[in-house]
Amino acid sequence: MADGIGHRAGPSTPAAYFVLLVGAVLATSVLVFFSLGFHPVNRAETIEARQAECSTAFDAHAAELARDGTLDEPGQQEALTAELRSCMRPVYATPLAAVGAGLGLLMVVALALYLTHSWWIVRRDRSRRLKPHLVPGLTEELAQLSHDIGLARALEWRLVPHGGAPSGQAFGLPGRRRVHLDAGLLVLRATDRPAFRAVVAHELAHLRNRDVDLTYLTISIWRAFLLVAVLPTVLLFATARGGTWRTPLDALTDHARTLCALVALGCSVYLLRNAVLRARERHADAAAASVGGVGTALSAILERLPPPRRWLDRWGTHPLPADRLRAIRDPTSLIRPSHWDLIVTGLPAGVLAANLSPVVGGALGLDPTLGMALLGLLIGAWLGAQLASAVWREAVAGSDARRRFPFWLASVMALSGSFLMGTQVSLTGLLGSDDDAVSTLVAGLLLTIAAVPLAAWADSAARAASAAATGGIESAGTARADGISRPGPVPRWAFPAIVATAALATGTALAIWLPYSRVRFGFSLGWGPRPADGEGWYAALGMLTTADLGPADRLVHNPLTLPALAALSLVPTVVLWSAGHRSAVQRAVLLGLGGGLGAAVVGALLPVVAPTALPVDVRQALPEPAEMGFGAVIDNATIAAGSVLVAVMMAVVVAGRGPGRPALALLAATVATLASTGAIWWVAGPVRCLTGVGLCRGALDVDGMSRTAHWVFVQGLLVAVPLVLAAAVVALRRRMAGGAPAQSDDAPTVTGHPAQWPGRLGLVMLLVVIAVVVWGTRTAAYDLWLRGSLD
Amino acid sequence: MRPEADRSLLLDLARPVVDRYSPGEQELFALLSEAHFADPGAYAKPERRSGPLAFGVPEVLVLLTPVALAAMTEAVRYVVELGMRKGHRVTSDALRRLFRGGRSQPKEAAPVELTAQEWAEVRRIVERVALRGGVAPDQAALIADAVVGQGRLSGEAR
Repeated sequence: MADGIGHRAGPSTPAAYFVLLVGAVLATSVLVFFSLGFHPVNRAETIEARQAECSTAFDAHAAELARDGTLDEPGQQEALTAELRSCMRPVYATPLAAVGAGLGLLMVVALALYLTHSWWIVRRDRSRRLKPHLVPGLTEELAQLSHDIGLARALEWRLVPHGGAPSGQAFGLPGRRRVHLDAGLLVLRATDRPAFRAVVAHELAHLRNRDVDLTYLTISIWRAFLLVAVLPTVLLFATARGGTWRTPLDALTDHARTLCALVALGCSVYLLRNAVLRARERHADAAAASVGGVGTALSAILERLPPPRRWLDRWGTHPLPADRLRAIRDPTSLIRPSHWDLIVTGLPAGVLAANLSPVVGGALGLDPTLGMALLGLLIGAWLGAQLASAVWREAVAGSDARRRFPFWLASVMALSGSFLMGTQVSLTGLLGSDDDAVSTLVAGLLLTIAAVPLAAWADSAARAASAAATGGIESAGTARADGISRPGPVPRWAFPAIVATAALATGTALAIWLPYSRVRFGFSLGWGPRPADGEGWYAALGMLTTADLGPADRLVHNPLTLPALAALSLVPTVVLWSAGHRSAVQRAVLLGLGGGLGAAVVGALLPVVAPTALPVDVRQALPEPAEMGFGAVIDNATIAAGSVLVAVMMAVVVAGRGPGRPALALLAATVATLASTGAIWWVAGPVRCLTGVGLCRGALDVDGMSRTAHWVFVQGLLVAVPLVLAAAVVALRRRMAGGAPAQSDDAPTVTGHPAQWPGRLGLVMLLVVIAVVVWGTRTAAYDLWLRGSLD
Repeated sequence: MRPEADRSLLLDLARPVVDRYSPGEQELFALLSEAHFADPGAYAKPERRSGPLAFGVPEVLVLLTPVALAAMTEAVRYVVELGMRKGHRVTSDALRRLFRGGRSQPKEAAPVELTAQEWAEVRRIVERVALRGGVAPDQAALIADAVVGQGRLSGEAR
């Protein structure tokens, strides 16, 4: 029965596909309407002419200010930049208006088609309301079937007298659901009652599953998309030059990339439409089979359905008979995602990112980098949510063990691969692209590598929630019998919280990745400044601990970094905690505190020990403008030590045993980051002050502490990549060697009826500290993102 | 007379065919007849339901009521035209008696008689219409035989 999977909090597959469909339609439509908004013939010329005009005005104004000697006054250059952006803004006004009008029209048409579908189907089939006593016993039988399948509201049965096929169809608007029964179906009732009941139950299952709105909205959106977005584009391509009809070859050669983008997106939309329609059929089969006596007849009908005639039929509007039978026999297959889901997610997102990133800043009157970052934030959130959703569904379906390659890992490949492919199919070729193959490759690799831990995290969190819900952890059942541990159902917030967390984290990351991916060698790293008179290990230490981390710098001055980290660590931790895995959580917290303690020790020792290892002239050397003094080197080395400890603690957690290690590693990192920051400011700081190494600072400089915390974490994250990878390999080898998780590590460890308050208190304290640290980064974030530079 | 004008005649002639070959339609006969008279050509356009949320058994099921009505319409038209060519006035009662026997026919109704060849033509008409309506060939032949009546056929009709 379909209800067998209903207890697991999560989305239904048709709903997930529908969300994807809406996303693909929006992406394609935005691209189409934006493209239409520019005059197709002189799009590039229009932009270039305006750019030249604005640049001339900009240069003239700058020269005037330079003559007056006011060019370097505070705020003057920002005002100039704002003036330039304002000058370019009209170029984008028409396309933006076209996007707004186009999307509005598309929605109106889709809504109109949806609202009229019921009227149209009745008119097309010439159906009439089924009279109560037309066929003896029929009304009662239909009412009983409706009751059995769980429909509370009455519906309107209609007979299609011209319909000879023994079939039915559900449709209708909310509050007025209808089912068409073909006359042939009533004839079937006389000869094969179980088959009649199976067909009717299937249609009723559509109503129970709320498929009607989803289905007819899907169809309406598709038709509106063809009518409003595709048709004008085709006409435009055909008539682009002087309003005359052109050959398809002309259009292809002139607009190959645009056409590729549109065809790829159109295919995505079409495939998603069919995926929605297929998914809800399988759900209806499973639900109908749950009605007494229907399952066997339904299976018999499905077994008699003809096999697909063409290979392409598997992507059609109806699922293969074998898939439908599987849905009845194994309802968990209904929520199982496929990698195609992620491919059709990534492709439109990539196309959208590539096409809008060059223009979004100017269109919104913002700094180009900030515009791209906002676009990346939105697209990243979308991608992260979809990845987490797919991984969650696969994890709760519990079929990953049967796969040779972990689903979550393959998901990363599918999503990032399709996204990167989408970025290559874009209009930017027409607008002028500065793409570089090596830079693109590096950017793509970084994106893929960054997505791997996110997918692992989502898989781990979902499995933890699923195991907690079903009591699937072997020892939990025993513990429950003893009254020791009580795993409950998956909290209803678990799925949305995990998806929202993934969205926040991915959005934050892509907001940084996207602008730098557009720059040649945007992800290059570099050594930091050399210490004054520094040589050998001292110079290396100074240059390493102040290394230019490239785009990672944007994570430091970013108000979303720590909230994302906190959510990544705390959401699954709460699930683990409530599932009884409290010792694992406590161990991660202790490891984090241990990292802070280590930072305190290093921070206290460095100002004392370092002077003994360096000659006095080196320590007292005055730095040139591009150099650092001894105090700055010690400062940075202390922060770097905190970062290394953060990475080590993450690796220790990953190398250990027990569930939820990705989340617990991040919890350890969060605690270690905050503890190290406290240690650096309240232990190492006073020692440096007392020993005369570096400046004496106030104990509660929130801005400074926030910056330190961010540097500790961001550097720690980079150092953690190889360490955590090595730890994961160690853990994997141990598992493959047959080392089953130790019972004491894996089992819920709550005894008796523990008080909840220590955990809640700890959670609240952690959130308060994180909030304070995030507040402290507001100035730097404003300077970097909104003003475009740091003072 | 135009056969479409006398629906009760057609219903009387088609009903026994439906009762015999598709008993499942007995309860729907009135409804299906009404639908047939509203769109007499629909029987020849059998369609499998498709589209969103549609579901049914894969086997083809042909509604016999509209097919029988269409067949009887054609057969009656042929007989009426034949009678007119012979100079007879063909009434509904005469047709009833022709196709269903004379058990309850009024005595004043003029008799209509067909030769063996003409019965064979009636049979061909019924069979052709049934095939056009999607009826399987074997069943179409049986229906045609039932309409004409085995006793009225001479050896060369088949």
